Amino acid sequence: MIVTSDNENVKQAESAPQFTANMPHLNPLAAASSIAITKHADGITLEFVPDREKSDLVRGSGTIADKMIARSEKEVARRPKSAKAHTTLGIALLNAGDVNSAQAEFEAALSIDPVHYVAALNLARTRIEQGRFEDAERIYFHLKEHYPQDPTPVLSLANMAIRKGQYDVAARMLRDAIGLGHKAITAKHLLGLMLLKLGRNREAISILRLAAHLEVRSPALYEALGVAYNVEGDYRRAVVALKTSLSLNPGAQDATRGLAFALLELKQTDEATNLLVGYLERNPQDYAAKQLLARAYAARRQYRSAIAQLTQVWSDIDEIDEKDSTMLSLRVNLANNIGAYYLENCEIQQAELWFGRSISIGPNVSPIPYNNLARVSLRKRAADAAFEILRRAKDRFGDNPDTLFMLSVCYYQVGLYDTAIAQISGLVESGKATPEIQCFLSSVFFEGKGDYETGMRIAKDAFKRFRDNDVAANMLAYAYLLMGDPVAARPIIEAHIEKDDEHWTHPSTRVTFTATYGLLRITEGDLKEGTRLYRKAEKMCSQLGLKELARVVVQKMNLELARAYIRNRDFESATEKVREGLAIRDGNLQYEQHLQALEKRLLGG
Amino acid sequence: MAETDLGSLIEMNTMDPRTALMSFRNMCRAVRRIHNLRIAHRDIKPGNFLLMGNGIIKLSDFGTARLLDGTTPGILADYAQFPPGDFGYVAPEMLASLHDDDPLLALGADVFSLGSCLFEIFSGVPLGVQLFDHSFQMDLMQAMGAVKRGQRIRTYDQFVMSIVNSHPLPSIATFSQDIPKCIVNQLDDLYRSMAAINYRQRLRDFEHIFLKINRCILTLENQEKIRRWREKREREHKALIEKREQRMRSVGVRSLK
Repeated sequence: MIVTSDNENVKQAESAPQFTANMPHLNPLAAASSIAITKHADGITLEFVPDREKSDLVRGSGTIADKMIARSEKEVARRPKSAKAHTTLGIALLNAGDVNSAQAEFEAALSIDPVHYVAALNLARTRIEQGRFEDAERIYFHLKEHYPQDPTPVLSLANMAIRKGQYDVAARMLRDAIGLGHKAITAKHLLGLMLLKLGRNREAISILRLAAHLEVRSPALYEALGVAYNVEGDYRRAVVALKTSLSLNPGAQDATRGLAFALLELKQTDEATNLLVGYLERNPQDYAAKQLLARAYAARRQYRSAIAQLTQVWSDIDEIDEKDSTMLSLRVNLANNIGAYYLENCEIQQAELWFGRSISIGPNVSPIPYNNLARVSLRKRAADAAFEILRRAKDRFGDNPDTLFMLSVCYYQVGLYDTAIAQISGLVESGKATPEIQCFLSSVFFEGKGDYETGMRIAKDAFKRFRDNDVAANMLAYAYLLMGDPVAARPIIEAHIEKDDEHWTHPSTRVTFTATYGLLRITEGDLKEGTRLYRKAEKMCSQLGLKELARVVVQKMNLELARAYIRNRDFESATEKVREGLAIRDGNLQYEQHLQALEKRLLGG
Repeated sequence: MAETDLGSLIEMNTMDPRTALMSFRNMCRAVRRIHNLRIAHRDIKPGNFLLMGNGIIKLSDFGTARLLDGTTPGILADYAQFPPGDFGYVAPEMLASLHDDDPLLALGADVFSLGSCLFEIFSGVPLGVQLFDHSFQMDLMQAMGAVKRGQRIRTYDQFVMSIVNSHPLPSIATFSQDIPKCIVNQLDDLYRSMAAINYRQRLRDFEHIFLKINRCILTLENQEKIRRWREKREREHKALIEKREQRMRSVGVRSLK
């Protein structure tokens, strides 16, 4: 197999996907705010998102809120002993963002009527806005005593429990609130998110679906359902739910980002691009959406457009406080991704510059820029520089699988096969290896060590573990061909070769697959068709700007044709192909060694 | 002479649900009367309904009212950039100054104000104060900011379409624990249909409104009868099932439990 994963599959540094579930706003008195859900490899995290900034609404500026306050103040002046009047003024002040004055009014209302329901609940809300959670909790417990059949205090207490990370307690309280309420939509919504946190995704989806059916016109419920499907990985249903949410609330920012994410996961890049372009015209400051659009452009191989999106974000966040760890991580990822898109676009110098920038901004943030920089060095045939970069990465991040893989590739390139194997064999044995790593190990055994039996075993194991993966399929087909079994290789190749462009793991995988198909035809005796397929693979490389890979493809073609001519006892043609193969400079070291060995055999008669 | 106004009555919180609904029906009657005369009141609120000594409710304060005879000029300038009426009860299309483009919209705005009154009677909070919060205001200002006269309706329609679902009208029961459970859904339905944010979807047919109010009153008056009827129906249903099972057992068939 032509080894490409060493230097072509550049890694994107992506933040863990984050979705936001907005509250349905059906119970304005319950303590509730939007929740950010971040999906990690080992589960999800929940984080409360503060509501929209209120700083731009100033009292006395003649706004509607100002008029509301004036009206309510008049009412208080008329009825100073009215708890209702104080409460109304408090709500008006709260809506205008004046939390302190609102609080004073609610307290005044409660001094008149100590169990005034609306005043007490709103006072608790203001306490939460000020971060005084214990005070808020006390008010909710007090209300729960007075109104035992009311779900709002229970719901709010559950909200408090979530803030404290007591998810099981919160889930129990939410079930109580559901029992007390009529439809209990808000409680069901929150319980759904809670179950997502607890990893009970199917249960969460079923309760969110129930809530959405009970309140069919609530965009927030469909949004939460879409988030749940996104977390579960059921992107088709996520698209349906999020589209429903957007049809109910066309301007929703979080639903738009969630939908774009799901569409990208489904590789529906055109739809995702159209959605994001329209959205960004209205919301040009949404960095997360710009990064998604860059991803969409990159999936369509419009790398220049992708780079333009990311550099815009880069320049926008340039002046933001660098001590903020989230922003630092964002900047490191951005620089790496810009470099990655440059590398995909075959602009090696720019790629090197951006990877270097990513490392210098945050040397301890991620190993990905180091590994990518090592890839660039390998492309430039600078194995020493790659070794140095990878050593630095290993010092900082330990045995990162991708770093070990890159080290293995370096050792393979300089002919140290046993050391190359030692780097990644542990990963393969522990089952932590990606298909690329496992297939690479197999090819080291085949191409480097000449140990076909072990190579075959690893290739079969990779295919068993990653059945739908094209890299694993290519490796197994290649292994069968090396073992002289084209009959076994053919169905594996035929299952993948007709795939559309966007369904390949990486564009270079299609190149290697086409080359392997060419090898199959040569092994079957159709040298003309085999040559055509190899030339096709070479053309694909040129279209993708992969000059190095194009050279390796031609080198491999000459090697395989020479072997076929030798099998057919046409030594003259074989010699010609060997010479053509050896004429290629900066190809693959192993293929060059095989060609030299053939040349010796042919010259020695 | 008026004894008091409805605003003060709500303040005292002495009305039982049935009386509140009866008063609300009378308020609707008063507004229907002026609408039939092609007059838009434009400042409907509990404080403007006077309760007379003989129990009759009268609508007062016609300072901002307009006769919609087709000759009423645009009135935006008269109110220094703000529409007429109390902000606790004013309809959102009035906040967006749509009445300037189409004065007839003021009739629907009166119905919205009536819906707001109903909300306040049972919840104790003026709907406008609760509903038109910071985000609503920001959205409205953003949508209508630079729109010229004559183009407001179209822009407002787009605005309403975009926010109507994300700003749902809350249930009255959320604000008060004293409302009889049997009428919660009917009350919510009544006030939500009268105070619909989208004026095109608002219920403006008073006959229909009276029908809904009467249904609430009937449910309240007969809630004991309804409860007894439900219990009787449940007992009969259980007896029927028991009888059927006995018959099944007699022929040797057992139900799965």
